[in-house]
Amino acid sequence: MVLHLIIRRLFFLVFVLLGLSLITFTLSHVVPSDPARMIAGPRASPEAVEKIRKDYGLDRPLHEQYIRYMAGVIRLDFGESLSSRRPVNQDLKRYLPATVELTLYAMLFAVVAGIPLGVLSAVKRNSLLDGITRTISVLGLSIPSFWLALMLQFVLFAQLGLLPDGQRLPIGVKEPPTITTLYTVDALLSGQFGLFLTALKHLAMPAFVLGFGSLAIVTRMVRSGMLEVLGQDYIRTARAKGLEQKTVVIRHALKNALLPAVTVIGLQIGLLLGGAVLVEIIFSWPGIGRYAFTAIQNFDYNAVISVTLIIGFAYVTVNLLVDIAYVLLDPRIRVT
Amino acid sequence: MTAEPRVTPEPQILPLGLTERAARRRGPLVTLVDFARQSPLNLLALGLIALFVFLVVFGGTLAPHDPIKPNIQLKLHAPSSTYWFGTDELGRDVLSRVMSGAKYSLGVAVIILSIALVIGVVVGALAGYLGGLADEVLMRLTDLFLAFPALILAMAIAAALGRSLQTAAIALTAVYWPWYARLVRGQVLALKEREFVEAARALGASPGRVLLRHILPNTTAPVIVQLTIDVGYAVLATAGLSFLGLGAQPPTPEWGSMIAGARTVFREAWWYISFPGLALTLTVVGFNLLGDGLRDYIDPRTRRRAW
Amino acid sequence: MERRHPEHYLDLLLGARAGRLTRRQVLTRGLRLGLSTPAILSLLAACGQQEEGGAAPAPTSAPAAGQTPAPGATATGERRLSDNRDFVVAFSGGVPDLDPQSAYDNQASALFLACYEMLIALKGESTFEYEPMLAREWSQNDDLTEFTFKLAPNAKFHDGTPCDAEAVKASFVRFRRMERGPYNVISRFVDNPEEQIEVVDATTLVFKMTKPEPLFLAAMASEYGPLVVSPAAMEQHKTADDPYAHEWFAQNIVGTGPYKAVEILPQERFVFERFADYHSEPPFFDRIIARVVVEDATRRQLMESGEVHGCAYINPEDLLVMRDNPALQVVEYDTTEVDWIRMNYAKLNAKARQGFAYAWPYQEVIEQVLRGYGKPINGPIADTVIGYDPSIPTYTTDLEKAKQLLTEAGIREGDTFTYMFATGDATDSAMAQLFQANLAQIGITLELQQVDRAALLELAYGDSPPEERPHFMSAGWWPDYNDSWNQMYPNFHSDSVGSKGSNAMFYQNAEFDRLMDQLQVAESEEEIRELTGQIVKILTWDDPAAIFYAQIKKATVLQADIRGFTPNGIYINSFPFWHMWREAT
Repeated sequence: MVLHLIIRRLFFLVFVLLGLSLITFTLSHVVPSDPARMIAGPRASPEAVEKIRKDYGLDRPLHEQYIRYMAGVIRLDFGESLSSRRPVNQDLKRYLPATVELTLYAMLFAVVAGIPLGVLSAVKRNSLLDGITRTISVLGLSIPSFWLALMLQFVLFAQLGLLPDGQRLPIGVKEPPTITTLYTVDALLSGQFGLFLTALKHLAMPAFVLGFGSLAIVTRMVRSGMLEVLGQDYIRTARAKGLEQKTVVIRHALKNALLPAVTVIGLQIGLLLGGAVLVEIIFSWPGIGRYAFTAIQNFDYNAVISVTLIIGFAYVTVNLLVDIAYVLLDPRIRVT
Repeated sequence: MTAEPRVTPEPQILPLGLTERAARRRGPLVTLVDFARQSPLNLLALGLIALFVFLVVFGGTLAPHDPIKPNIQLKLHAPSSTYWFGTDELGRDVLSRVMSGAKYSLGVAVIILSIALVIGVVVGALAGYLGGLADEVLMRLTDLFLAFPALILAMAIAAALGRSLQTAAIALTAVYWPWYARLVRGQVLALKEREFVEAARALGASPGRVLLRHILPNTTAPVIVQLTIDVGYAVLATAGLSFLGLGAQPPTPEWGSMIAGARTVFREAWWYISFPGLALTLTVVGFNLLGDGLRDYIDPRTRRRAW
Repeated sequence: MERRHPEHYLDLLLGARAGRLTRRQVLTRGLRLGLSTPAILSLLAACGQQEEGGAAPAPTSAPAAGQTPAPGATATGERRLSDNRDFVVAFSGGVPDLDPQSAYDNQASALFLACYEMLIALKGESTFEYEPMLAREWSQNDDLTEFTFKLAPNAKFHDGTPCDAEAVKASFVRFRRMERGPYNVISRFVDNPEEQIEVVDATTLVFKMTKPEPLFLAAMASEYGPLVVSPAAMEQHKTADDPYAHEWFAQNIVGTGPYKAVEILPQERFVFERFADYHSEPPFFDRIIARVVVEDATRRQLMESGEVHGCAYINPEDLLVMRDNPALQVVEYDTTEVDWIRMNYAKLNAKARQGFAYAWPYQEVIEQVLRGYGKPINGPIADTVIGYDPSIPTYTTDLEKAKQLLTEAGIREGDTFTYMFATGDATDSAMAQLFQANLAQIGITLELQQVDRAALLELAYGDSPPEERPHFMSAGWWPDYNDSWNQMYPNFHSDSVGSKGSNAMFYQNAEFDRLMDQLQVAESEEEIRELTGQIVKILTWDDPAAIFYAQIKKATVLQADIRGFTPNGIYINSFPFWHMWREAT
């Protein structure tokens, strides 16, 4: 069952990657720009531009360029960034971890805050807490992230000076040695607790903004899942048997309500990876979202395609993992 | 899209045609009143939406000042009795710009979803009804678009086609249609086997007629719920693109581009960034509440859940 | 594009600084006396010295309003040095090409001043006096045909190889022969570097000219191009395709400067550490960190939070606020940059262009958008540049006149025109909208199009035909030399259209070209003034090329404890890192 699912999805993954690359490639080549001139820089002579066009294979027909590019991608070589003139791989190695760390903390926040909020507001239905939770959950889905980000910057950074306005670490602070590439984890692993706190402080605002929407969704899923479960016969029976409220909630209701929440959490991770663009831009967060935005502005299409592929890959993979988790957790469910 | 996350529409089957039948029996106004009376949140949702729809239609006309013409001597004035929401970096009345901006932010979102809906319904209905190879091909295509990082796809399209509100709308249509395709397909698949469809078929209705007259009308309820919620997200997405300079161009008073304009001066002029953002938030709150309310209203099982 | 990322350097700006005689005054007086340029140069130098200690402060030794305060010295005259020896500077964009003999970019050159060296550098704020850099001494013969440089005997490159006269020669040969970016800085004087540059001994180098070249020293002090790179590194990294190892130098730094690069992330940051074998007095700062901060708002925030110590890219609007911040110093200085709106020569006839020039909101832009960081100007030549002619009238806004001219030009109410500017540029956006509003008043629609910087560069340097270009595009420029020809040639001459220069709107006027060709070989100051006057009149009034709306004033923001910074009208937006230090507080 699971094996079948995995094989099917692997085929799909290949299809998605091909499709994504093809679409992005086409899109970036209808852009009215001349990458050769971009590389050559201002005032390059026509000969110099011509030479670069040849060197980079930009004079070849489009399909040939595409095949050449994809041949590289198979070997995990995403080509050279046209604006930084470095291998895209090098750039990705730098920027991807920043996005991953941000996303993880955003989800961590959503889960750690969302599940208890959802449970409590279901248990104490129609209480003040429930009201607040539901307000948060509507706001989380409604506030524009870029606006929230700017407002927080205004209040927490500019007015109160509580949190840094962005970036992963203060300028001039040395990064922790690379172990996992996540600054917070690496700082802890190398025993630099101060650095860990600094990195955490820098993560606070962007992770909060990015995770706020997911928090709303998680809370919502948990609450409605709990409500449904709490209304069911076996819970009523359990309660009738005189089990303590706490036991009922934790042992029975939460377990059953968590399943849909797990799905949503998984899907959110996939979405957030690609969705951090605005947050990254506002908080000067050196992640792949911001990288992709800059790349699009510079018509740096090797970089754009690579980011698209990576996020697409992550999305499909996360989906697959969620489905597997689903199958394993709930044998009644059949996923195709 | 992006950090405006959405719940994945799981192929959920809601009791079908309830609203319609109810409406037919009691008239739309009665239904509306009934809906509003069900929960204060529903009333709030309707109120907010009524306000912003009103602004879409009349906002430009009723604006107390010219939303476009700069009056630079008045730049960045704080809110006052003449300029309730203050003025922007070119001395324009922020209130007037917020009012006439509804047309762009909300109006465009509605257009985007209308087109996405048409594409989605066609693809989804065909895939679900025809099944087999057609289903496979159409749905893999749909999945492909779903796997695309939404904002990056939108940015790439906007960059390729040039920056304008139209391009942003095209880009977002490309983002939204697959969700409807998936939703509609799920519904069609489930409905295909239902008795009334079988009956129609047995009575000799052509496949097209079965699809158009018997199946599609019954997918309305879940689609409407999804649409309602998506209007909010599409408003956010349009504003997000405009914020990045990929959507509305100056001097268009689109809310997202107003926030972008306010960004360089927001430390000195809180009002300039606050009011367009509030307008955006309230619009989306309205649609989110309406979507929740509708879902509960249509689905009696969750009726008392009242999100 | 050009304006925010100017790719030019000023040459021999005779600008007398605030408080002294204006350059124009000096020039006018000098010309009235019938003096030649070199004579005026020396006169100006004398002015500076004579007035020192007078009512007006001299540029390099004493602070003027808004300038770096005098070094925080103790009573005994010693500097109270801070323990914090990092200097963090914020840039607004990445620097992809690090080859100093190829990059033609304002931010790149600011970076180069940390790690590469010219032979000589401009001294303090002066635009015509020099101080040693790689050369300890220099001299020229009387007819300005031979220039001799004595190098620092102990100079070394960051790769450990010695920087002797041979190495300097090899570097200049590379600069001339590679023919990239700013190579006209050398090619104007040296056509045959192998012959014209002579190594006398290990520390002595002679440049031989083919004719008198009064501007040669000025060119050698330019931060664009005449920087010395390691020939050993070139030899090591050159390839058959790339004999000058440009690809390698585009990503690596091996110079003789006080700092060597330890981390290079072109789109993110550059970290420099003090170079142990530096040939002169070690600089104060241990590290120079250049950080790329794309967002305007973030740069300001980082200055205010104290994380960044210096930034030359701050919006006028923000500068106004930051001026009142006691934790910061805002150092303002005049430039020879003139900003303009190019008008499409192929799509708009002369009458139309005159009409549009009358419709521009001059006063509003200078007062409300540039917030005083600019003043009205009557053409592409700033009032600090030789050839500036005050008798040419300046446009003022006159919508009636505009309407009349546009009507005569055959433009009707309801016609639509396009105006292109870079995304996210608040200043451009505001100007464009004001222009749009003025045009709307006379029934003309202006469509604003934001495009990415890349797209603007594409337009400025690409070959797409003028018919496919917008009607208006914002730009700005400052001259390579204090020379009007140099300012106008790349922008308006018919030789410079499309990819051949920056004549992005295909301005082509035969009379202009003819006069320009005369100006290029003009021999006397009068002739230059005479010709420039005629030319500017054509560019501005007879057959307008652009809307010339302001001569620009710039500002660099520093933390209040930074000392030793002097702005220089030629090294625009750059920092003299080797002179700078931080006072203990």
